[in-house]
Amino acid sequence: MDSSAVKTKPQSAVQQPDKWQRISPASIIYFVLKFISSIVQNGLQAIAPVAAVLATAGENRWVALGSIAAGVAVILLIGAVLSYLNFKFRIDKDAVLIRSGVLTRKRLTLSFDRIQNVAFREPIYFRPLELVILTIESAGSTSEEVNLAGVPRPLAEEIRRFVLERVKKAGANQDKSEAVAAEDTKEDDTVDLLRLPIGELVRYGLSNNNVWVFAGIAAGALSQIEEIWSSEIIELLFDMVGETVGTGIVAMATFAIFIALVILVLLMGASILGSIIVNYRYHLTYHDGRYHRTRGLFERQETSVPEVKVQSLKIAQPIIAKLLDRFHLTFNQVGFEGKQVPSKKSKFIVPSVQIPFFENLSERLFEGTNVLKQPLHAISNKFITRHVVYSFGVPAFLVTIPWVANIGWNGLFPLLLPLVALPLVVLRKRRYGYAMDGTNGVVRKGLFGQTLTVFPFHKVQTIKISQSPGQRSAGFADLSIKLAGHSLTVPYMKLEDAQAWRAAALQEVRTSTKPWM
Amino acid sequence: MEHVATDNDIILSDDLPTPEDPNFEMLDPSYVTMARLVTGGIMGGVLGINVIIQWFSGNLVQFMGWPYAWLVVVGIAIVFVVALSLPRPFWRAQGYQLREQDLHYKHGVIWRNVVSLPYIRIQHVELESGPMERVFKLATLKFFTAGGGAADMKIPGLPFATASKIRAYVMEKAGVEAREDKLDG
Repeated sequence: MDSSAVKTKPQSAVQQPDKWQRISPASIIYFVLKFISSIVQNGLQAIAPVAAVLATAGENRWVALGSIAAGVAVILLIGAVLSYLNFKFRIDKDAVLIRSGVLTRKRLTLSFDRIQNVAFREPIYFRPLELVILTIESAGSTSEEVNLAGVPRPLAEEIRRFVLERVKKAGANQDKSEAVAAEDTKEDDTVDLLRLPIGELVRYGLSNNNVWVFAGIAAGALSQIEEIWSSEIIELLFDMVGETVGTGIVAMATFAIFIALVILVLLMGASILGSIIVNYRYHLTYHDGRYHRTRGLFERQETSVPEVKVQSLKIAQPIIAKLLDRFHLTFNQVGFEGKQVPSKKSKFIVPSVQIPFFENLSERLFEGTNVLKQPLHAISNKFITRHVVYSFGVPAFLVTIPWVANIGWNGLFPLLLPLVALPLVVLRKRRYGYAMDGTNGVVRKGLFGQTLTVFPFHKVQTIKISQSPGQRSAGFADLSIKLAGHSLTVPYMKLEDAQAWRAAALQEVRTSTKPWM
Repeated sequence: MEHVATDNDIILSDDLPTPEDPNFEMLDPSYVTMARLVTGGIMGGVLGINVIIQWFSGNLVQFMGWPYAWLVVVGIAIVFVVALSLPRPFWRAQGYQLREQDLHYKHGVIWRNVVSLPYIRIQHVELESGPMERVFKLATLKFFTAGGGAADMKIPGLPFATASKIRAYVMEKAGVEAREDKLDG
């Protein structure tokens, strides 16, 4: 095996920090696939010349196509081999260094204190060779992400241990309490947190997105597109349907509903399949201050997140999940709003769990907090008045004036809008809730489903209290809290509560010895 | 008498300090003048360009002959007066407060906001002074945290000297904390 040369010295990357290392030759496969996927992603302009050749080549088109394919294959292969030869990495005292690139040489230095995550991916084509793709994610942009493709597993594990130890040391410099670090090293055994059976993955696939909404929209949109309905296939279909169930309006409506159901089932199926492919054999563990996740059917992914980097825990329950009595958790990490959001792959999601699990998890994450067990405070009913009157009533009224002028009393119709919106606003108001225990806070919001966000006050970046004139006279306020990466807002909170939250957060930031990242 | 009147503005009970917002420092009074000049300049410019265009297209003469033209002129005048009187209440509502560990900035007349920012969360500070601000020897301080792209707190209308003093103080506060952290670790 080609990788054996590297394998015999599994600790070489770590033991000889000054020497440039190479990845396994098997990474050529990875580079070929990467090129292909980037060609596909970069759009169809790459295919345009091929189409041009095909259009002009006449009878010889298959020969032409074959030679193009062969040429492309050779170029890809040469490119991949060169990429492999030019890719070198080195693990230094305080940074990971990468040299790469064929035409444009790239040098990247990623210092340990900015490393956010070390993840493994094990694509299906690397599995027989026991190689992995080691991904090092930084706190900055995705362009600073390092992919070491084709590293033997023992070496990868060695690198991860080494890098994460360095990350911890870099973090410990900012960490005032040595007690925490000492505790971390003492706790050596891995805690098994969660394994998900297929049934849970199906539940996640069913409930993690609003597929049923898309299905409804898709069916609605399809019925609007005349071309589809007047196409021959549909006409044929209608003829067939007409023959079997009759051509009455009821039969046709039934048929339309049937089509919508088929779309829904297909989308649901795709969602479940996706969930199983991504989350197959989901396993979550905790070890030495880090959460560790393994999952995936075709490509095994191993990701770990240091617990200090978790800014908040999001506990989401979309409406379908409510019926299934499940919650989906996300570890919110540092991100930058406006810039590229972290890709879905790197999002640390714990799907399909129940209440005791996330209560324990938040206790574990945020120092034994029981904030989730506290009753949530409701926000003021004035929230309803404000939105019904100002967000819906006023615009509806403004629309009404020209409508009445133009089309008569039928133009009063928009005035019904606030009435229609009322139940939604009431639902929204009911979902809002908040509670705190002095060091941690929890905020709930939602419409049909609900999302709870638990966060420790010492991670707060800024706090804003806003009051409208109405809120001032009634003693309420909007509170917005900015964490690194995202913000939370509680509207129509009691003013004293908002002030108490601000005082507690400022106090925690001032006195806490824990690093916020 | 004019002078006395401005020193004795009406204070609504809402404006009285509460335990939550004691002793906010005001922005420099020349900030009001600057804001008036900017607002007046923009509105005057737009109006002036319009008048010139209408003059050359001949609409202006026609408009002056219209019996209700004076109403429009009065309307425009009222808009100007209102716009020029707004900066003062806004200025009155603005203020900042430096504390031992955190910084607060309040703003807004109708919707009132108070932003609080602990020094140790500050990533960097920007001192900005646009052309108009330079004329009035004013500066804007911008504070950035890891919370997101735009500045998390912006304090306008600070005299140069005050702004750089605050900047030095805040940077020291933010920096000293970081250094202490390093030493302890």
